Amino acid sequence: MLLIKDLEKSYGKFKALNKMNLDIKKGEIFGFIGPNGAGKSTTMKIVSGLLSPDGGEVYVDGIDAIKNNKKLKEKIGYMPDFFGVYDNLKAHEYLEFYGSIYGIAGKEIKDLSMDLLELVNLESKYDAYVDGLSRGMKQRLCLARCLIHNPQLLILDEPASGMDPRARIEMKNILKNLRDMGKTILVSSHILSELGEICTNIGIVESGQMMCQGTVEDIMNTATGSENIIITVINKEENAIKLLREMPKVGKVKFENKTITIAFNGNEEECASLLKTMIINDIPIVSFNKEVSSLEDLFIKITDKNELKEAL
Amino acid sequence: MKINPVLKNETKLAVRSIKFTLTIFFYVVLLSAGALFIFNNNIKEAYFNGVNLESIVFFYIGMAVIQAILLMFIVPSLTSTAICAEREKQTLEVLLSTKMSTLSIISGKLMASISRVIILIICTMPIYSITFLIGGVNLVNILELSLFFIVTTIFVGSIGVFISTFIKTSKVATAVAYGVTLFIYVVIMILSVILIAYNASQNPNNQDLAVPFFTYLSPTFGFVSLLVNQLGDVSILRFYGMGANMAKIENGYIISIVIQLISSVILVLVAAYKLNPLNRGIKFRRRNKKKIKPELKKMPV
Repeated sequence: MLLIKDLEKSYGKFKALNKMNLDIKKGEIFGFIGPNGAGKSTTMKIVSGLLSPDGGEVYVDGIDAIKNNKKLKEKIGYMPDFFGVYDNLKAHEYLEFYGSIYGIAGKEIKDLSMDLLELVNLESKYDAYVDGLSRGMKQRLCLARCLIHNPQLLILDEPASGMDPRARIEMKNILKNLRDMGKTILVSSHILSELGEICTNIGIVESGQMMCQGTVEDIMNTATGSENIIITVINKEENAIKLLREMPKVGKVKFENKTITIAFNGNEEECASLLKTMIINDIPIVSFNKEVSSLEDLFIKITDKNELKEAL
Repeated sequence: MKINPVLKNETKLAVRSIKFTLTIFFYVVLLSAGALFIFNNNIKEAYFNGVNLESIVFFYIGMAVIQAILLMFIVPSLTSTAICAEREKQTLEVLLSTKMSTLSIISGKLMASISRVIILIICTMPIYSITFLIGGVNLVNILELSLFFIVTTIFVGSIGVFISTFIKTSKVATAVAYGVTLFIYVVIMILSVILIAYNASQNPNNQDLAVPFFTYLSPTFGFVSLLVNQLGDVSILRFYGMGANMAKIENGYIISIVIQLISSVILVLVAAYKLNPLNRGIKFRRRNKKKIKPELKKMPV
């Protein structure tokens, strides 16, 4: 659905995009992850036809997005990170205005506006003035606006920014619904846990380059070579640490706040064997857990240049 | 018929705001006050000297001048924020991400402003009808004048939209638009009068002095020319002639209208080009001055 090849863009001397590559298949929800200034918004603006690149190619559903701007805009729906709304306009009029741009009029646009407002849980605000809506509601309305011409690709730049937790959950549920409707979505967010839940694939961007892309699980497995195990014991901490240091497949051993954290490279059988050995050696174990690695940890790990080399 | 979506939306937003209602109110009040003042002055004279038939011509000219001045102040304020306001409200990016062309956006904005001015002009038409009481000015004259005002609105509106596309903040854009409007309305005319007076002093016997070409850029010239054409060689307008060929002035409004319309088309096209985010933009580059080598500086001339 979206193919980006060697995309380049500079602002003066600052290189925002440096040979960016990206491939998103139809029906995927692609999470675009990266620190501020990594090139996420620039990429999204180029794909949306709002910025011309210095070099590279962009194809949306086989259409050259740089050369066929008008055709491109029929295929995409873009929601920027910051946007405003018109004062003195009601929610359904806001949608009708954008519908009229795409030649949708009369009863068709009225029905479509209602359907879209229902999709984003704003049906009760059909006749409400837009400037009276909360930020979360405005963002959902803007998402409905993106869908007015039934685009195949949705480009959502930080759709949940500035929202309270409840509004974020609502936005997440709407994106899940869109995923079920078969829409292809490119979404950037700083709230990585949410991206992890809804995205089929993710890509991590740093300094205008795609560091890695794939399914959340694949990237987790590739990036994290070892996993952490957290062990809590009673009284015999020193014996436990001594024993663990002698064990194979155990890397760093850390003791903090009465818990022992070890880096473990083994498989599940070796993990069970480790626990068995500790029990045989009379270590009084209270808990033995694998640390759940989050997308945040992965993001920090990959974007940290020192650790990056180790990870790749 | 498909109406430009921006025009439709802008018109809807405009009529809902109290600002537009107040604009119509004060516009009609000011023009009515002016009409009453001029009419009253002429009627006073009628008690002593009888009705001066030329007085209604003065009334018509007075009304036209007041309206021209009001429009000079209203049109730049309507159009100079057209694009800036969208940018400031952060609605421009969303609009540009749709399939609407930048030319449609610009022309929609301009047409919305023109439609508001047309409403203002129509609102004042009954005031002009006072001229029919005595005669001397007919309906065609009023329609011609209204048409000229619409053309001038398109021209000044295009300047406003053009400036709005290039300048990022509304306040600066409005100030620049007023500056440019004042220049084309007043400064060009002053320069033109100075040049004609200078030429007249150089050739005292020449009764066929040409109007400088740049004068046609000023809608004021077209306005004076239209009044001369409609009312003949009225004494109040004679000051401008200053020895210039009156026949040329009488037909000058046609040239003025043509120039204003052509300029408007050019300004709208350039603004649409500039607004397109995929165009690299129009950049004014400074020429690099050639550096003079230090040893050459020391060389005796």
